[in-house]
Amino acid sequence: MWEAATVAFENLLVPTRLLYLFIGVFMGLALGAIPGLGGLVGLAILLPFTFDMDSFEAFAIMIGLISVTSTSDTIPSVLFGVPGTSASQATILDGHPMAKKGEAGRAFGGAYMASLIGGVFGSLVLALSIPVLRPIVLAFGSPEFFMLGFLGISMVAVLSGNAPVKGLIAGALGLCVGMVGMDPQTGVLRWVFGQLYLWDGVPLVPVALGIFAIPEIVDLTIRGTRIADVPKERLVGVLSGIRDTFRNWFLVVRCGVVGVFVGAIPGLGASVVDWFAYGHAIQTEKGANETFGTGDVRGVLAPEAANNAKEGGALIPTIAFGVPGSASMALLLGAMTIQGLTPGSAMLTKDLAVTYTMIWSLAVANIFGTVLCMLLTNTLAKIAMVRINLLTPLVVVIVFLASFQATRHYGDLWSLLFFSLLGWLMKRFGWPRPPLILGLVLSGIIENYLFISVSRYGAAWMARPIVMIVAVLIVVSLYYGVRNARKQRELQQERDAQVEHEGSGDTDEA
Amino acid sequence: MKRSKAVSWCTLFCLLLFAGLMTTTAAAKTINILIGYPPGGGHDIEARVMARYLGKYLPGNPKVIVQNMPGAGGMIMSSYVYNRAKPDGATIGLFGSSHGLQAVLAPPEMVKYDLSKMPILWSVAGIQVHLTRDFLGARNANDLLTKVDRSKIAVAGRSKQGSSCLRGQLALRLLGVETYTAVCAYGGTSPIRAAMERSEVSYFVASDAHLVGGGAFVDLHNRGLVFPMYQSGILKSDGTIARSATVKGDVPTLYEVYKSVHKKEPSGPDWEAWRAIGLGISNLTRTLVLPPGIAGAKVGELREAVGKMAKDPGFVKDWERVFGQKLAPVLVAPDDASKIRDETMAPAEWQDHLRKFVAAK
Amino acid sequence: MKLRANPGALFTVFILILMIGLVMTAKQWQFQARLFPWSIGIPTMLLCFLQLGMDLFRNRNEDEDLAGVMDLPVDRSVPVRVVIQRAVNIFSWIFGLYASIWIIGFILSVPLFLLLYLRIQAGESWKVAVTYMVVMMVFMVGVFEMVLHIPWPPGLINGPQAFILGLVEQHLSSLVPI
Repeated sequence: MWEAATVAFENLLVPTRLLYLFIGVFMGLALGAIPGLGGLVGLAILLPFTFDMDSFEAFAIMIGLISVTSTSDTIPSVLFGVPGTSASQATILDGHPMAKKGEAGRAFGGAYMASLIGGVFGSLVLALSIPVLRPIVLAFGSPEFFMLGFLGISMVAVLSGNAPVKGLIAGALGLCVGMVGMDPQTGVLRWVFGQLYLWDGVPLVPVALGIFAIPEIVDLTIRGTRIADVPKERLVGVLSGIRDTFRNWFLVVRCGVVGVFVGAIPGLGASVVDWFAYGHAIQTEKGANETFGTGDVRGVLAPEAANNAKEGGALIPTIAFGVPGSASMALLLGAMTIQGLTPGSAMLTKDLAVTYTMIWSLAVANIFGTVLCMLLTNTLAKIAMVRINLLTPLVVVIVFLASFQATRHYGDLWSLLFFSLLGWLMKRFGWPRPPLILGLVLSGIIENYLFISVSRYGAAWMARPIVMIVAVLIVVSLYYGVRNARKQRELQQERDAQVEHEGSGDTDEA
Repeated sequence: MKRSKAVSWCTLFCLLLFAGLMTTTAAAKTINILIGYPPGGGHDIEARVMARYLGKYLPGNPKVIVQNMPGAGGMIMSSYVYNRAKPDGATIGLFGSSHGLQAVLAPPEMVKYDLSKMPILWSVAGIQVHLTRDFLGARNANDLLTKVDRSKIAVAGRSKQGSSCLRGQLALRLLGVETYTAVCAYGGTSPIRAAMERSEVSYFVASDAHLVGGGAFVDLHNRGLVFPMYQSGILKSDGTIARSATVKGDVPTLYEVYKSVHKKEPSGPDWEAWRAIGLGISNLTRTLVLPPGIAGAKVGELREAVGKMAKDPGFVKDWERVFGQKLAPVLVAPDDASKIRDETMAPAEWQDHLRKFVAAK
Repeated sequence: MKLRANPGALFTVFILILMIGLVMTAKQWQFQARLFPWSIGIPTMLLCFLQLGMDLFRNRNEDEDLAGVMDLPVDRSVPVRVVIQRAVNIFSWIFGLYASIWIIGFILSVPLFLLLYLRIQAGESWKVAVTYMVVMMVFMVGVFEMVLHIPWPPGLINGPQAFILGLVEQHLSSLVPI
């Protein structure tokens, strides 16, 4: 194993391959920073070029690209409240308020450092688990995936703050949207209304951009000022963000673990990993209930560590079984096919050097990407000072283009428009939006895997060990969710009582 | 002042560029190959291999590009090619066997294309190989029918009305196996591969490509975890069914197994349905298709170019590296492909039978 | 408990109607297909009624509804009437962009939108508007047309878009190897 690792590292150090890695990193950073585009587009561009490359070059450039999209996707999330990729939605909740306070630089610094640690951690986990990779992944069957999906849904309670009813309804709405399309179990076309476009369901990208991106840009435009309503001198720099990361190193590592784990579950991956990490941070960090959502840097560190670690996680089932952990991984598999490689035990034995090339590329690309982003940060933070009317049309056009990219059909734009209105109204009336996204992503997983579990195992699926462990986790998660909500309600009542008391005191004096 | 100068130069440059573009002579048109699936899959890769070589053999050496138009199992693309693409030879669709199946099973108002009106340029036959897990205890078809505990047969499929699920169930019924569990909701081949490995399912209708090169089941096959029971075979234009050279080892066709079990020629609605979707449609597993209404001469020109491309050594080498199998045995001549398609897709009883089968619980 | 006027209740009613519609449509499907939709949809309808009740009768501060919700805080500094006015304005621009794409296609709508928005809405100078437009066009055509080969849908009036795409194809496509 060590031999293959060293051979792979030496292979990577060849100048042309490093160059390919750099090119991949540059492309990945650019794509991650443009809302809605992300790694998938870049991989699609690169795929035909890989015909003429050898395996080491092909994976250096492709992995270089996907490793860093989760680093630069922080940029639009923090500055505009528009998710750079579907993995940086949670970053918006605290990153954007930080930008409004003039702390964009700090948010970036923390995010990049957390991304770096998360990403390197992800590749480390992948590297070390090679010997036990296959048995671990094999232990997770349809019942286990169902339970993990259910665990994800239980996060809705955590992410609904003290509006649990609205949160549950939003989550249910997301689940329903996720059911649109052909039901694989019965062949029935559900809620398709005669539209071919909806056959495969509502795609995630237009929904996510509609729900998060457009409402933010609309609200910023309504306010009519710059993003940061704080004078230039108070733009807090990158270094304080880096210090924050080291101060919260344990949180970052934990979220790295969450990222690797969630990233390794096919279908779960990218779009929910940040929510899992954010939810976990709320449950475990002191005072999180008060400060998260208002510009707490920990609310940026958690999802950012996880979303970089997820790539290492997603590579696990891809390499070991040829089961793509995400859509980007599916393209990577395509590249493997072109190279004549067979995912499976061969990648862990005969072709181990190629596997290690991927792991090294992942680690090195994360380092390059972070350094590049750090260098650009203070310049980027200044965008927060640009007139909003210059940014609005740019974001709108990019969001339209990125949405259309999903299935290249007018339906993408209809979805975008519908969910934009819905998202803005939800925001205005205090309906939490994250549960809707969670519901949408998890709907298929929950329904299909439950059906498979019951068809295949009858009722016996519930007695499987991992299923029971996850059930306990769900109960614990729900308990914390309810307890936190109650605590917050009590605190709010206390605060109201205090305000009333002070108010009546003033009146008396007057 | 500096900035406005830059803007002025910029604008001037653009105007000049535009003027220049308007006056240069026309170059050869681009040919678009449309894929009904997202990038990275088998269709996409095949089209990209073709795109590298096809232009060479067409008049004017046009550039060939691949456009992905995913959705509705390829039907958004097929609807576009049939209804919107101009019949000038610049748009070619890469259709799959799902297009034939959906034409029968999908609600009629959603099937916005008519295969019989679309000329075929090239067709690659897909051969199915029915695989079982070792723990069932069957090393060949005979074992499957005599030694196996049938309650343990769990047929995997991507969806209830998907080809893998239907072909598997029809084959088992034809051989007299009525008790099995159908678990048809995995959504894709990769989850099924993983499910096979962890013994969640035990029967899957894979393709010959899955067992060679970088195919999904190569690993399991090499490790002795899956065994091929029978293959679909290739349907010849004279109606006979032959074993495919792309399936290694002594793997009989379903037809041979049926005859050895029932001692007679196969017949009946299940057989007609299986023959149509397991052979007829599957022989057109990846077909290059043109929009309707193209002049015969143009079709001939394109067929000739594609035929030459198929013999290009560079193309053949790339193909074999990527798909891990020889091209020649699975290439179906356009005329044969058209004949098979028209015969298979003509309205017939098997189509109603199949619809009833899918609709049943 | 007093009945209070709460615009948020209207939104809840909208969601409720949506859920009722979804549940009713599912009635015609076979059992297996409507099992999951109904297990989710019917309890959710009940939750909607509960929320409606809370919206109309519960005596809570408006800000309280939003504090602690795990989502971005809403800025309440702008008066509601202005908010509605500006929201209608910006959404009109967004829907207008869509309408334009539908009529004349993506390739022409994007520069038109940028130009008009920057000049009319933002009040920027011609210099800024045109530079912006040119840069965006280069990006759009360069990445989405020449590299990704996005199949742009035809607009109702497709002549101009087809012409421009034709020019790009003829003269620029050789610049990019794929």
